[in-house]
Amino acid sequence: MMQERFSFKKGNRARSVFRICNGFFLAITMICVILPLIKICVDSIDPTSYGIRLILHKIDFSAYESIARNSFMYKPFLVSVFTTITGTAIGLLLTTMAGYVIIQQDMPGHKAIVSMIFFTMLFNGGLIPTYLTVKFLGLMNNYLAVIIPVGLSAYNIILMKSFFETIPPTLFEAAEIDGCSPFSVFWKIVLPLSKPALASVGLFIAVSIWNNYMNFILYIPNPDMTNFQVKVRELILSDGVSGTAITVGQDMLKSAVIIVVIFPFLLIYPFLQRYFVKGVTVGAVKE
Amino acid sequence: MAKKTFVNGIKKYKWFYLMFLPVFIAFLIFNYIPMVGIVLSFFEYTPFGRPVFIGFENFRTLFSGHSFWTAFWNTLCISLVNLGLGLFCAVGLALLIDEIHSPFYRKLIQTINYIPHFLSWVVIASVFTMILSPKNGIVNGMLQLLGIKPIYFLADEKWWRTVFYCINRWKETGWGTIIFVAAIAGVDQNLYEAAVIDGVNRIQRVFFVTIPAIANTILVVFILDLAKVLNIFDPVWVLQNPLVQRVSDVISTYVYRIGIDNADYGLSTAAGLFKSVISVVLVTVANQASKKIKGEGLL
Amino acid sequence: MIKGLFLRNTAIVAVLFVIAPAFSNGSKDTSLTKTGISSGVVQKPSQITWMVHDGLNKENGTAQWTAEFERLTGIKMNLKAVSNNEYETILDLAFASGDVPDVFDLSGSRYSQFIKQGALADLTDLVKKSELWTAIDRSIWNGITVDGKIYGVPKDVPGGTVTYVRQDWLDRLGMKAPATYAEFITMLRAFKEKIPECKVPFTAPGLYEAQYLREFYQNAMPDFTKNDKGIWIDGMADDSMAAALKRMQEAYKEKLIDVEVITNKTSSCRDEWFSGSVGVFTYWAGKWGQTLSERLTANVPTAKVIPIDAIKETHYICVAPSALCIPSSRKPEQVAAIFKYFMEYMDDGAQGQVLFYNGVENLMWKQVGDHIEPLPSLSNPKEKLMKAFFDPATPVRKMKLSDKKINYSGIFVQSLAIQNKDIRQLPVQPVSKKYVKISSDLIMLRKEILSKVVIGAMSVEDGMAKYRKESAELGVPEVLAEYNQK
Repeated sequence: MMQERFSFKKGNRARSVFRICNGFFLAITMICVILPLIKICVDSIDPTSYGIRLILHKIDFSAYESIARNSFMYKPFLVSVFTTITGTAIGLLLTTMAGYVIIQQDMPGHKAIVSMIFFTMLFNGGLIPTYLTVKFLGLMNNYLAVIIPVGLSAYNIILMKSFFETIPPTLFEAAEIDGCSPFSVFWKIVLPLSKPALASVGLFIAVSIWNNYMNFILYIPNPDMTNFQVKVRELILSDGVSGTAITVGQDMLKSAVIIVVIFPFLLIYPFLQRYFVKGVTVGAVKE
Repeated sequence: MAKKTFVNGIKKYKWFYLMFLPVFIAFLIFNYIPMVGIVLSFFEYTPFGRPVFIGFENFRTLFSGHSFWTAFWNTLCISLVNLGLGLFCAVGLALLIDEIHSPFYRKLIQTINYIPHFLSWVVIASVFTMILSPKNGIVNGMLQLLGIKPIYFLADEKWWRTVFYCINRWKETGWGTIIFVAAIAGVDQNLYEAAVIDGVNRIQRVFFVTIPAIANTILVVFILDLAKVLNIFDPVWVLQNPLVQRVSDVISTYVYRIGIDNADYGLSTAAGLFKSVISVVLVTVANQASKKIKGEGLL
Repeated sequence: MIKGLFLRNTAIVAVLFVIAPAFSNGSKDTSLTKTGISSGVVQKPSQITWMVHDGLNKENGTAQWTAEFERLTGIKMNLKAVSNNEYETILDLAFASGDVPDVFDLSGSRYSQFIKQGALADLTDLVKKSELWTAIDRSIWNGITVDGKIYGVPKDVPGGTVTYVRQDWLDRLGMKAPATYAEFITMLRAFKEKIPECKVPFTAPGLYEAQYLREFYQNAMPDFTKNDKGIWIDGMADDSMAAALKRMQEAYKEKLIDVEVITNKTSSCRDEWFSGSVGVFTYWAGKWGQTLSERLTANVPTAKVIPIDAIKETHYICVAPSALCIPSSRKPEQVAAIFKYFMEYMDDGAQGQVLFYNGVENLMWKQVGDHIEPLPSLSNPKEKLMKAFFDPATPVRKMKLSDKKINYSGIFVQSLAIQNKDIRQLPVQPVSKKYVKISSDLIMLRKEILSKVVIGAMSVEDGMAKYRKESAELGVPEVLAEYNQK
């Protein structure tokens, strides 16, 4: 990026004003975003908190302690981490392979493959048929029943395809002349050039798997294998029916798990930023 | 002759077929085998017994429903506006973020802005109900300072959709900018330098260089989102109430309510099929339009 | 290529569809040995599968509980604990895939729906021959009798709501608890005008659930109900509803009812109550009363909460009871076995009842003299485990053993006592095919009319007229005809 200096000299005044205003505007968007979050944070450590009060009256970290200490809290968290990491790896591999295959315009059956993939975005068999299929194929209590449907989606494949289409074809031709197999072209040329794509789509896949609870509830009935998001949902929706009352501790826990479930991704994005640099991306003008 | 090239083609691309195989199997298992269940739209089917063929009866029930068509129009209006607004805000915000040169500030803004995407709609609904409360919400508090009487936003047919769009933007804009920031970062610098040489000013640069350069990304995202647009459910479900039913009900919430007591999966599958068909129409129209405008479409 | 795919897929699924139904009709047996059953002798099952969605979970001791169950009965207990929110979906899927548990619970309209689908075993004869028929109150049995038959065993005494009032505010104003509607409104007005910290005199989570607005509804009911002559009518179209609407409309206009009542959820009502700005709140009796009181006084130490007797014009109501059911796909001898060794055991008034209600001895409770003392919960030692699977405060059947009392105190007991003084059970709606078709639109219409009239957007007369007209168009007369035939 070009280095710009703030300057209020005649020619640069408007630009500098714009940059300052822009900075403020973005700061305001951040504040708007973060206020409700602060409220949730406060709720998680202040047992006397209610309404929209943002000031702490009392500090009590017991909710976080209980998450760290109780195996029924941290085990699902670890399951989430595990399934997200392996799921993203598997999902990204499958997605990129699929994307690479469908840019081969001359391949016999190319149109059919593209249609077949896109079709899945539009049509869906419904809850019961999908459940029956998974069950009868023996995939219950198998993490693949979460990883594959959530990690491999037509949406991401098509995004990947668009990314790949911006790679100059001359690179492929050169590799072919050299006698490389498609797989090594994929591995040695396509992937290294697609860092921004891998970072974005990888992030999308990771977030989808991390946030998923439905597939876990349906296909992973074993309570030892459940993930953190399921726990979060249980706590948030554990609204009182006659008989089950909610304690202060549970209210704080509700807010604490929300913060905990968001936290890992706050740390991840800054690291991914470095991949969003000049290179192959969707939309770069083709030569 | 044609057969020979076909067979040659297969031989030439055999590695590609192999690469595609695991993906193919995955789609087969999780999408195509269950997809045959779509035929249940033409059956009376509950989990308790065998499906009974009833032809178009489910569709008849659906289309003659008291509020079905209202829900249908609401779905189209609400989702399309949401989609358009979403793209506009995400691209706009991405452009503004691009103008920030400090890498630290950039990362900070983007990281914080994309947090709401991780919150569940249930949480967001309860937080915003408080913020918009006519009794002691912040927004009404500010209005009162300006001398305006409190407005019961979420229960007011005139305001509900506006509020709905705003809350959706609050949640999804930050996330939406990810892909556009990546795209903008990838725009060839030579283009900018050429533009500067041509004497193009900063604002014109955005409109004549940056946006055309990322137009393809915008289009791809638009069409892909269009395919899912009719399925909107969670945000509407948590923010709905009886006073705004007429403007807020969408197909998925309508079908969900019918399904709660009845366990009539034939009917809900029929509604799903209907939504799919309409989505096909939407996507085809968008794809054709994009072919005419840009010379190529998604497919 | 697509054609080939399509043909192959169709073939696979066609095969699945042929095979699947074969699995869905009773092949998952509770491994009963197939000896002939002589009359009167019921074979003990070797295992029972029970799907639960509240009560004990893995964190506070289901493993120990099932071990104890096995130890005491010799039957293997296969407990499937599922998340409460998805319970209905998961149960539906269990039926769809043919893998149905032996015992599961249902309530309200789901119970009726399952009966209509023929999914539940008819337990009428078993019940009437059993001790439970006399041991459990007849009114509770009536709550789960549909078309003269019984398809389940009551899971709990149906819970009801009572009205809680800020006693400290009453004291401050020198007022007594209201005994009539006029006094009730006077009290609300006094709260609003004379108590500065009162932001909301009366709150409720929505208008449609009549159990939260007893004083306003009085004898009206926004649902199908039986009139004095025992005939089914649409309560929403009745003149009593017009009177109720008027009451609510006027109270809302004066801001005596929470301005946000339409968008309130139970959690937001409770939060507001805990903050100390609400005067009156009608909510569940028993444990919730205790919670309302304790958490309020944690924030406002001078606050005092009392449940009040129902005002003259109304009575408290309780929800439909839930029932534990057995799927109809089980053979009669299996049904009899499950009934005897599970249902009769859980309500035996002795050892079985203690296990189901209180849990495992010396892990979840301990004997202290002639009382049961709950022990700290395994998942959260700061709190005591108050129930295993059913609430021992309100057992369906009285304990035969004399040394298993539990001490409850204060508002817990008070609220239950008041509730029991004059509580009414809503009549169970019969099964009607027409109702199933129109229920969602009808309920939406009712909620819409209620909301619009109460906030003043529509007059009471217009609202009633519109409802009567549109509900007739939807087909309510047919539903009533079906109901009244039975």
